[in-house]
Amino acid sequence: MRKPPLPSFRSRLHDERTATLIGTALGVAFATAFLTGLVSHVLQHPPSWLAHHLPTRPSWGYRLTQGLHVSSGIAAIPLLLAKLWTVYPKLFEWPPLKSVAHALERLSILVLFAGAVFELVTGLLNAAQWYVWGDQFPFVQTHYWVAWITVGALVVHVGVKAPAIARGFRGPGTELVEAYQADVEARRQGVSRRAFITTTAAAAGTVTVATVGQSVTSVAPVSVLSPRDVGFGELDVPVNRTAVQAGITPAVTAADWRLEVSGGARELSLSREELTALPQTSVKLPIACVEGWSVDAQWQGVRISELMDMAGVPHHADVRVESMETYGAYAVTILEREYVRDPSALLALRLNGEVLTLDHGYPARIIVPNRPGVLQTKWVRRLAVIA
Amino acid sequence: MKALRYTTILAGTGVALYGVVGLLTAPEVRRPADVTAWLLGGVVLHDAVLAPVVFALCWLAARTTSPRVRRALAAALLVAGATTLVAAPILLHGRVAIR
Repeated sequence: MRKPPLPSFRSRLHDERTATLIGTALGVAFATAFLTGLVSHVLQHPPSWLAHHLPTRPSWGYRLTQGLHVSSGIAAIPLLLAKLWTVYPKLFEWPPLKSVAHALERLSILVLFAGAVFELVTGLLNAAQWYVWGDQFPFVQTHYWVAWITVGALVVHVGVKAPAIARGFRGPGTELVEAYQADVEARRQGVSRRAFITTTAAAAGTVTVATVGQSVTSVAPVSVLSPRDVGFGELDVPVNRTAVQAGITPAVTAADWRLEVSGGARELSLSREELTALPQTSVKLPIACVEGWSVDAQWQGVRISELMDMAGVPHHADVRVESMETYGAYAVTILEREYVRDPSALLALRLNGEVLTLDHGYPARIIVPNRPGVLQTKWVRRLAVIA
Repeated sequence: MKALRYTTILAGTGVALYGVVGLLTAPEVRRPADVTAWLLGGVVLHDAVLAPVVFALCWLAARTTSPRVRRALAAALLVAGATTLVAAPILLHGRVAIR
């Protein structure tokens, strides 16, 4: 087959060394996002064999891992673009397919590329709660499974490229003479490898600092591009889902609301006044959302373990938490015994010194350590022992 | 060394296939074809739209600017471009809690 007129690329930065250095940074970012993503997935949807091995400490664990998840994903955006720029000429290599092995290699790169772009785009849009894909696919499961595909393709890529990566890393030696000459040439053209890599690092740093304030609240004032502005919110805590969005009407939270505790030796039915008359515990716990934002808050209420003792619930029992919310996948959640018996797990009645607002879960909500925000159930109606 | 490489490639293939099977069998993912369209859409958007624009700019800069100006221009555009992309959702859709 004759070679068609393909574009040629004159910059000397499309070489192995640049690809290796930027690729390594990108690989670290993807590995971080993948591992922290697995943590988040397991905490949100624990498989049965892990459900009773989830650590409730440190209380800020999920805040850290999910902040890292979103930050490493955002930092990967400029890294991926720089990596793609570096290797873009390979798109036009001729002949396009040399052998079966070459075809498979190119297929694995297509999978890696498509998966990486998909994960970063959907992740960024999800952090901004902008579901442009509508009902074409559910975010959580798709982002999760495509992550496995992407990381698998990444491992294949590292295996295939191992010799090139080794050459890219090797210190200044005879093999690098060519790379060195390429760099000299690139500098003459204007942008040296060092300048390109420094600029890529600066871009990654800029987008990280500009967004990380939603998890590291002390830098929130400079993080003007974080998807979530944590400076807003009743009682200094942002609200992800309002009472209106959850279908909560003032009627269901009126004075005749009662908390039911069922399935123990004694059935309990407590009004809000009766709950406030019980011994109150105050804890400082973060609320950390799957979308990456998190803030610390002071919560006050009744220890869940003490409520369970009042109802004569055995220590090994898990609890089903039922909310009054009518829409949403998290109206009913499971609170494993490890959370139920944690001394800082509360049925919270107050937040930052004030009575809970309706959007924060009035009359009562769950707050437990080291758990994704979607499982910190608001507008609780019943705690039911799972037999 | 060769054995290690092949093991790595094999292991990666296994992990990727685990993801493919998971995606195809997840009850919540009802239309895997839509996911595929999104996966390939990103590739096309980069290779046929974003990259040609960037390389056209590179070509233009190489012809019209001095190396010194080019260096500053490349740095400014790379940082500004990445920041704009990351900010695109909030520029187009607004920050959560404000909108």
